[in-house]
Amino acid sequence: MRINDLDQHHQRHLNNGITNNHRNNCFRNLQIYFFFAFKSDQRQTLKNDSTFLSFSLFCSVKCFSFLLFCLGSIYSYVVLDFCIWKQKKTKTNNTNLSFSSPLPLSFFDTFQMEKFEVDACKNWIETNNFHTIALQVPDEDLDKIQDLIDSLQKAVSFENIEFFLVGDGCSPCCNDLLNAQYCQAQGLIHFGHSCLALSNHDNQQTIPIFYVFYQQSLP
Amino acid sequence: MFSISNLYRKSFKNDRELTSLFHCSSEDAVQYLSTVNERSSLVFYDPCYQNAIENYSKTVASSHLIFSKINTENLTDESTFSLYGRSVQLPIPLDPSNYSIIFISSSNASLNNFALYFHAYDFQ
Repeated sequence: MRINDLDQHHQRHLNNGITNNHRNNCFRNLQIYFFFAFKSDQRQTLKNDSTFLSFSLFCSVKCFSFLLFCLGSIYSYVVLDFCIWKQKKTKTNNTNLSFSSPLPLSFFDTFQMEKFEVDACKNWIETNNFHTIALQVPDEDLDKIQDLIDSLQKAVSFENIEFFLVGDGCSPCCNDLLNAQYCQAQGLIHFGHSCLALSNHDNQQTIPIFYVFYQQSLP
Repeated sequence: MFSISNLYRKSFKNDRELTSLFHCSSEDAVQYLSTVNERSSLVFYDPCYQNAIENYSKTVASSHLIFSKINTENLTDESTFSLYGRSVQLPIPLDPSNYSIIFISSSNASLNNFALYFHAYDFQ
C-alpha cells in the first residue's frame, strides 16, 4: 500500500468514525428523550434495550408519515372536487341550460342534491309509468336543474323519458298545472315549499303531483 | 288564551276572540309543545317539518297535542278536519272553546297563507 493509498484509507476510516460517532450521539439523544418517558424503576430495564427504542421511533415516524399522507389525500380530493364544481357552475351560467354535462357530480353537488330526494322521485315515476314529467323548482334552485335532470335520467330505468321545466306561471309555492298541461305532462314533481293547495276541486282537469318538501329538522 | 312571551301572537279579529294562531320558530315550537298540558291543541306545520314532526309525535305521548297529517285530498269524513292540505282526526267536535290552533311555520308568508285559509274556513 502506498502512502497516498494509506492516507486515503486512514481518511476514509476517520470519516466513518466521525459519522458513526455522530450517529451514535444523535441516537443517544433520542434514547434520552424516550428514556424519560418511563418511570425510574423501568429506566434501568430499558436503559440498554435499544431494540424497543428503535421500534418506538420507527412506529412514530411511520404514523406521522401516514397521517401526512391522509391529510394530503383529503386536501387534494377537496381541491379537485371544488374545481369540478366551480367549472360546472361557470359552464351552467354561461350556457344557460344544457342538459348534458360531461363532468361528474362533485361532492358539493351531491351534498346539495340530497334534498331533491331523487330516489323517491324515481320510485314515483316508475310506479306510475310516466314518460313525460313536469318539474317545478323554486327560483333559488334553478342553477341545479341540470344536475337534477341528469340524476333523474340516470336513476329512472326508462329510456324515452322527457322532463319539462315549469313554474313561471305562478308563485313557487303553488302548482303550475297550466304549464304542465301545456307540456302534456303525465305528472308534476313540485320541489320546495308548497302551499298544498288542493288540485282536484272545481272540476279542474289536473294531473298527479308528487311533492318534495326539502325536509328540515326540529332542534 | 296563552301567555307565552316568546311567541308572536297572531289573533283573528272575530267577535269572540277565541281563536289564536301562533307564529313561532321551530325552537320555540318545540319548547312550547313541551309545556302544553291543559287544552287540546291542533298542531299544524309547514310540510318541510313533516318527517321531524312525525318523529317528534312518536317520542312525545301527549293527549293534548293532536298533530295534523299532510294530506292534499278532500276527505268527506266529518271526524277529520282538513285545512290547507293538512288533516287532523278530531276526538270531539271542532269548537273554538275546545281547541287551540298551533301552526309551526318556516316563514311569515307561510303563516299568512295559513291564516287566510283559516279565516276563510270561518272557524268561530
